[in-house]
Amino acid sequence: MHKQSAYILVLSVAILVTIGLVMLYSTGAFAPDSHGDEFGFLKKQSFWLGIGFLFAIICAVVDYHWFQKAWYLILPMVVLLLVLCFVRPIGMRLNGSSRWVHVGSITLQPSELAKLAAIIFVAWWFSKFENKSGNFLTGVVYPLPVIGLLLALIITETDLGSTLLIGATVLFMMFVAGARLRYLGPVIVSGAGAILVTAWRISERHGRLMAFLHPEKYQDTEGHQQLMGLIAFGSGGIEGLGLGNGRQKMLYLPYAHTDFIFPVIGEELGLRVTLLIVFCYLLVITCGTLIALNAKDRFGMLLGFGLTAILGLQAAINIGVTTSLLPNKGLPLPFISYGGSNLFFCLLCIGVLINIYRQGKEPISPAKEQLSVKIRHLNRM
Amino acid sequence: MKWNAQGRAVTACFGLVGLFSVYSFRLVDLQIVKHEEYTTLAAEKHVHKKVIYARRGIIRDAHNEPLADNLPVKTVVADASHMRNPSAVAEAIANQLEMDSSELAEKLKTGKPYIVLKPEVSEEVAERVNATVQAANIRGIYFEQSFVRAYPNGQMLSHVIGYIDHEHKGAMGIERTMQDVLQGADGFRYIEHDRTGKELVPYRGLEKPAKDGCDVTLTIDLELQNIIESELDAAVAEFKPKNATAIMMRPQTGEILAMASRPTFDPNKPGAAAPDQTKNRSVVDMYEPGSTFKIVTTSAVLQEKLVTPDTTVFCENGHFQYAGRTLRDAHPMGVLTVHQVLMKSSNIGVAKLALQLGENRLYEYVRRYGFGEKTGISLSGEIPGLINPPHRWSKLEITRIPMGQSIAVTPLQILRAMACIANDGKLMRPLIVSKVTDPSGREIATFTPEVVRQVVSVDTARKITSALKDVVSKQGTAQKAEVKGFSVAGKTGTAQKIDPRGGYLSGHYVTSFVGFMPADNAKFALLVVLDDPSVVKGEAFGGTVAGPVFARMASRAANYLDLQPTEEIPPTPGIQKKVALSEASTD
Repeated sequence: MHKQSAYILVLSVAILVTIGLVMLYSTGAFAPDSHGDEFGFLKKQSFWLGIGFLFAIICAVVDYHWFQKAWYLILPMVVLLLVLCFVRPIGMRLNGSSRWVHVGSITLQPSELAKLAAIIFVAWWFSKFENKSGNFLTGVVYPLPVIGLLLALIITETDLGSTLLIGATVLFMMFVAGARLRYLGPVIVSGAGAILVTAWRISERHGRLMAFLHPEKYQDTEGHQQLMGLIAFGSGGIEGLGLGNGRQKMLYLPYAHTDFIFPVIGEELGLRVTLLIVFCYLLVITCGTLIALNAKDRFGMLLGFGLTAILGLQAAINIGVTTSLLPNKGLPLPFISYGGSNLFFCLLCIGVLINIYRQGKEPISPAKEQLSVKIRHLNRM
Repeated sequence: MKWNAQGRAVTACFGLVGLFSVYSFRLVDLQIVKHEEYTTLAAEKHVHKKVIYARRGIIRDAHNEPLADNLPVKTVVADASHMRNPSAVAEAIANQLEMDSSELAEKLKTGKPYIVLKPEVSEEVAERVNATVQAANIRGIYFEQSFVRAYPNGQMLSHVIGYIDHEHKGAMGIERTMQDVLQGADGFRYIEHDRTGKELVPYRGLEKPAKDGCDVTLTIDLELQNIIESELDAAVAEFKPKNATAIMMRPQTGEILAMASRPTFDPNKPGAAAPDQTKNRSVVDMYEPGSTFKIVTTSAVLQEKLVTPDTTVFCENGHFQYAGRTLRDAHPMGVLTVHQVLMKSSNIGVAKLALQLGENRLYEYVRRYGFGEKTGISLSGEIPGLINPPHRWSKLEITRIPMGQSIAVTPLQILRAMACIANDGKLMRPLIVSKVTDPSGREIATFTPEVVRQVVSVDTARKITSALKDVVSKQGTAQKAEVKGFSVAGKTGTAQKIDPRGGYLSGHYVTSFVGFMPADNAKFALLVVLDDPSVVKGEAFGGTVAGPVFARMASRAANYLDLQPTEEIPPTPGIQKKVALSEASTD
């Protein structure tokens, strides 16, 4: 069953990317910044899809152990890019955030690369100090300043979503690498505390938090977007209103083509497609985990799991936010939302996962039998 | 418990899988269980009942000239929710909208998705603003179609047409009396709109089209109206009366051909008019008619066969003692025939005729001529006038009412009574609306002439006409009302104005002339009333003030109507010079 995992992974991603392009065409023209060009977003997204596909193939072919060797190059380079976000004219400021650098007409979000860098670093660290990962100092204290620097840079860009995402992924990886829960616990508590305090101090985020706690009070202000998302889901029902017939994207639901595309899918295509998407993410997570478990070595295992975790967590946060189970936090839905950098990064992850798969060994997991049954069963559906 | 890496990875994976399972339940909950609830909520946000305004009916004159029309205008609306630079946008369009750019910027800076920048902008201005907006690549400025009521003739006929209030309901005149047929019925359409309020045309729902209002055609002839208005203006300029009224009617049908009052107003700007200016004095004002009222008593005694036109009456040489009071004539006269009493307008003569008639019969004839009740014309605010029943009369009334005192009438009532004589004694209901047509052009109502009653016989009416013809002659009181080439029948009126403190004001008169032409086959009856004209004391008589105005109006009207002269036109002008003023002004 490990054998099929990469094919299932690629198939799931293909389904997600296809739905993403179709829905981008449906929502893009109504976005306030579309300037009336219904194909504008589609063209840009297709461009990044091509680039991402190309790099995914490169990643799938070139041995991933290159990352293990080059981590000390990748990490400073990403830090440099993150710093450049604040330096004009290379850095770009939009909606109060300095998340972008642009070279010529290409705009890049270095925080996407920071995700990869953080995962590579943590994977390298815990494969190097495999036997000491249960130690307090080696397992928790030493890697934290490096990750902390990345997170500090990203949080000052006011990209709370990416900070949260990288932080959670790193914690997942540390947990898998063998860090003791009693050491991780305080880190989780203090990390969550730091994020909450930051959120509280930025008035907009504060409002979003309050809106989550008291949705009825904020339905015309901060809670508006999530309420509109719920209306989109709810009015779609099982059947959906039909592709292109959604009403909420018509300026009712802000960011209907990026962070809040999932409710529009629910509105236009109905419950069946939303459940299909959730199922596809489940497949990506299980297949990714399977690939990681069957990796050639510890670095591959940790790297594969980290990449799987970051994709799964990003999807989980986005769906949680759009269904109002989590406070509003701007993160794109992997493979579906409009946004070149994120699509590029997600495809890169898949490329690396395939590389790990190609070098993988037969699984030795005790959970092998159960998992294989489950996957086959699901496969038939 | 100690886990190896694989065990931990599988645990973490199951953790994520569990989270996505929760999402599946959440989606089922949202999309199946709460489907109805959110569909209702969505409908509340998107669906909206839009009123489709009905086109208000057009008011036209007898020749289909529009008197009240709807002008297409645009409302300039802004969606500032995505406007990048409100100040620049304001700067760009302020000039063309004739608005203050800082005030405009203030509005735009609110960032609201629906801001009315300026209502009722003409199509041309909207076109120019649109061009600017396009050229500067400004987004978020758009235009909504609407209509304003426009009165293309300005002040002309304003009192008859009336105007509409801010709720688009007729507030006066035809606009008010015909409100129900003019307004039509607004329709509606269920539309969906996006958050900025723009309609999503493909999702149009149930709709009920608006029922446009019906057009109303009046009996007014705009040409005649123009004649009346311009001559009335000239008269106002010459005599500076407090107010003035002129009405023209077709005697055989009761159709109002023209109707004007001064002061007047522009119905396009009703807000700027003082209450005094908006009064349609033809129907809402009453006044003591004076001698024009003498036709009532004279025709009554003839009808009752108490006298013939040649019966003589002694006019007491200008001093008639009755009930302890002296009744005077302006020019003392001895023996006059009934014909001459009317012609020379003797107060004493007509009072003595009334005494023969008796109070009850006089009252009966006054009522038969339609005084003391509304004429029923479709104009707003009509009053019935004032005439007390005989049991409330004092001894004096029988001598006062025949000469048009102690009674109050509207100008329209007097004109109708005169038209009744012209129409062989048949009193008509005044018509102002001739027909109502629905938007497709089908006539849904026509108003035909209606005889209220035969007040006096044809014979009596002819006898009175003959006397009235002589009024407009050298011997009569209104020689200045003569129209060259035509025989005019008419009667002057010079009533002293009532002093609010009791009695009469000396030196203040309501001068009037009412007549018809040509006398033997009247094409129109015309009344001119000038209230308190400013002329040299002793010259404010119906014959000298209102008479010439009548003559000018009638002459131009005859020309327009292409009437064939019935009499030889005297070769030289200047007949007026031969007549002494004092003689002509006998009232």
